[in-house]
Amino acid sequence: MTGEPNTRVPHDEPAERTALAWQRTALGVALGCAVLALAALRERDPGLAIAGVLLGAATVTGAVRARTAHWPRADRRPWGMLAPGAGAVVLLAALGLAASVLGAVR
Amino acid sequence: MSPQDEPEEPDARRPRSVYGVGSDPDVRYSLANERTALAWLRTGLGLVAGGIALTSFASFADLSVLLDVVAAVACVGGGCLAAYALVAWRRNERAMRLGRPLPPPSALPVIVVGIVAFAALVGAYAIWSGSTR
Repeated sequence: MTGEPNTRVPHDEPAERTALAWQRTALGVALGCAVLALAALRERDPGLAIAGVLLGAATVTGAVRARTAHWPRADRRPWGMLAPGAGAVVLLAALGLAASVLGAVR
Repeated sequence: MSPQDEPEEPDARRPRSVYGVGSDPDVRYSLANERTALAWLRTGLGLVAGGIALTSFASFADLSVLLDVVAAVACVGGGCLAAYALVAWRRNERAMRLGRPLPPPSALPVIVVGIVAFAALVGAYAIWSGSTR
């Protein structure tokens, strides 16, 4: 045993980190949708609750769909996933805005 | 004919404003750019989640309308940050493909000021509601 630290970087570590970043983002959107749906149910807003559930289900479906890792060839299409991901957050923000406006009006 | 002799297929990836210019950078840098965009997305998501939690709590505890307004502003800010994530990813990827210096993170000062203002508003409300009890 030499005691030297293992400094070798695994070949696919960046791809794995990126995949985990996607998982965290999708999980965050799904949790946000769940909180929104539960809050809307409590406020008796079925429309908002259904929209939250649908958005959460779409996010989870998109996250668990099989994706092929292209390493090291750069034939990757991140825009095809980034744009829907950002769209989901914008949609959740719009639903949250609707919930807060409804809360202020009541 | 070896694979190196085969003519390269034209790059059909989108957006063309990114993949139509320059050449592919090291894939590790592209992946790092993607992770940075995802980190911005999650920051926006945090703001949205905070807004949703705040408005639910305000209605649950029958608190002031001011909290609903703060929640609405947080949701709008989160949505804007999600859109910024796409813009920043595009700018950085273009810069890397063209071999130019990366543009500065222009949203960083805005998000810092926004979060400080958000915290100050909620804190001021907590102090005000505590003193009027």
